[in-house]
Amino acid sequence: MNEMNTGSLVAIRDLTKRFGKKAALDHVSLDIPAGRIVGLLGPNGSGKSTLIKLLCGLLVPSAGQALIAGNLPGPATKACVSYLPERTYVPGSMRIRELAAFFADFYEDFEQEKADAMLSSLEIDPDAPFKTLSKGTREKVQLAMVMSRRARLYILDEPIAGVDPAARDFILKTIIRDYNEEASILISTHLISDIEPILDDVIFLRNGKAVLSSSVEELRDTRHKSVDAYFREVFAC
Amino acid sequence: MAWELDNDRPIYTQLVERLKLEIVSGFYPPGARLPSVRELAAAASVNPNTMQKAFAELERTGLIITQRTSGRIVTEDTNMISQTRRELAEEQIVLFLTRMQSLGYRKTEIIHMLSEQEGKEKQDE
Amino acid sequence: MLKKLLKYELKQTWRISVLILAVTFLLSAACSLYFYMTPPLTAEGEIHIGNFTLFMAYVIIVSFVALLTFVYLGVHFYRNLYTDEGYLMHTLPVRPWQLIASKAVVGTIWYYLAGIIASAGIIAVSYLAIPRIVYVSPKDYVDAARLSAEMTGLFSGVWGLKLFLFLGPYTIISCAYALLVLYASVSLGQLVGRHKVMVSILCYLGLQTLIGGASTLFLMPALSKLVFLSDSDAVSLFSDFMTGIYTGSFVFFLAAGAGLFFLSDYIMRRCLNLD
Repeated sequence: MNEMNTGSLVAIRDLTKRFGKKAALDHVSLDIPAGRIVGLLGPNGSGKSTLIKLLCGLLVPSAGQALIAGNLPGPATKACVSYLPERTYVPGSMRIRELAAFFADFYEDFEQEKADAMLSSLEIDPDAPFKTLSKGTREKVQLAMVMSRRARLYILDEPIAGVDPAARDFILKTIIRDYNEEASILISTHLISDIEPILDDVIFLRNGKAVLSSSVEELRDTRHKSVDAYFREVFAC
Repeated sequence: MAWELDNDRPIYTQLVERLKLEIVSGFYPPGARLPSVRELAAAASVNPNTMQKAFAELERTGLIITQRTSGRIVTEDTNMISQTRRELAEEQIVLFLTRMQSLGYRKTEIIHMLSEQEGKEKQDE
Repeated sequence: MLKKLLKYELKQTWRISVLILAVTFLLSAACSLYFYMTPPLTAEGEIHIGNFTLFMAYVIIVSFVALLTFVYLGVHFYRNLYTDEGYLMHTLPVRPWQLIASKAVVGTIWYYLAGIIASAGIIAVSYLAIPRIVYVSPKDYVDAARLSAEMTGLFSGVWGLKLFLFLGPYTIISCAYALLVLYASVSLGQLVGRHKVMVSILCYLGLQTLIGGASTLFLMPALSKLVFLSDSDAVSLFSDFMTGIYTGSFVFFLAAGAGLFFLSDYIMRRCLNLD
């Protein structure tokens, strides 16, 4: 019902998260409409992870709220949010085949054929336990699972950090080719230049505050420079 | 690999240029079916909405046509293609002349140098 | 969703749990075979130190292996819900109580089975080992037979059936309760920023001390009654006393188990903070 009021897929209002006295996220208000690819940019410790964890229901806000498709984070939002954390979250003994079955069991929007196609293009043994894979392969498999869902919101936390250029290329292409068109993607990264061409909008976070929220085209038009260059300017110390 | 894109110009104009080049050079011949927005966006590693915008621009000029049944195709109007080719060539010439003039050459000198270059290349063959 | 969680919990824990059960069983079988093959002692007052040492070693090792199940279940709970794997589990479209419930149910099954197999092994090995450690005279056998007949008489009929019906749920509930103390301790450990495992262990010890102290206080009145009365009807008094203790602790396990369950659930709902 709130979705009707705001017209946006994600509505963040005065969202605040304090750890002790320190505010990791400080009264942030943002809207993410459906069908956009949004970059969440900011240096380390700017609140990117905190914002993502709040949207995924992995943290409880100290004040304010975030609504996803009109719901507060909970089982209903988790069913329509496809989240890729920046770490390996699959139990090491789980085989890739079992992981796909796990996703199919818990997520109604999981498309097995899509996952099979992506995994076969990666040419890995589906019976291999997860812990035997290289770091790059683990990231690709996790991404394949996450992108095989017809979710309404994809949240990708640092999807291309620490992978080689070939893997980065695969990851970006997979994101573009496989996301659900009515959905939005929120990508957090500090490697802006690699990801800039795929973004519709950018959000800059600094010290827990949203200092900029703009479309990429608008930013490049008005500032006559890339988002990457502008980012360096804003965050130059 | 992703397409090479400049950082300081809007991405969509660069996509338009690149697609025009691929059409006039015959990479996509007249009447050929173009890949979907999604596929092309993935190939270029750009946002699908931006690729969509570039397609819309090319549709506006008539260089590509959207058909209900078979998606997007390159126009079969070869006149239009050669006209576009001519426009791109003229842009290059203007650019070239401006640069040469900034080096201090006059037009007659430039033409002379061009024919000299032509002679050299013939000898090499 | 709970069903699916139970399925995956079983899938993830069965390998190590079954391995522990198998080791317990094989140790018991090997010891039983050894004592069975060894001739019993024949002379009055004879004691076989070697067999005694072996028997004690067996009891200690089997108890330790069974205890490993408990430790393993605690580590699995921590790893699956509070480390990197927590990012997968806590973003499933389920509620935290369902995660805890699936782990408590499956854990109780393994812990219960480990306890049963270890106890059965120790009873069987004791039966075979005792005549090989000390001399047991034929008269002792007769006494033992009479005692066991009396016991059987005591435990047969309605009373025995009642005991049997009570003992099953009682042991299961006590297993579940023990695991919920463990899970609540692990969850409490997550409330601090650093040394989470250390704090979890301290919380476990603290909870155990607290509960032990509370139950002793609770038992005091009953115990004093037992001491000060004449011994004319000691047997019936004692059996009343034991019935009281077991019923009381059964109710206590249920109530405290529910409390600890909600404590873990509250921590996961309101205070979750994965690294």
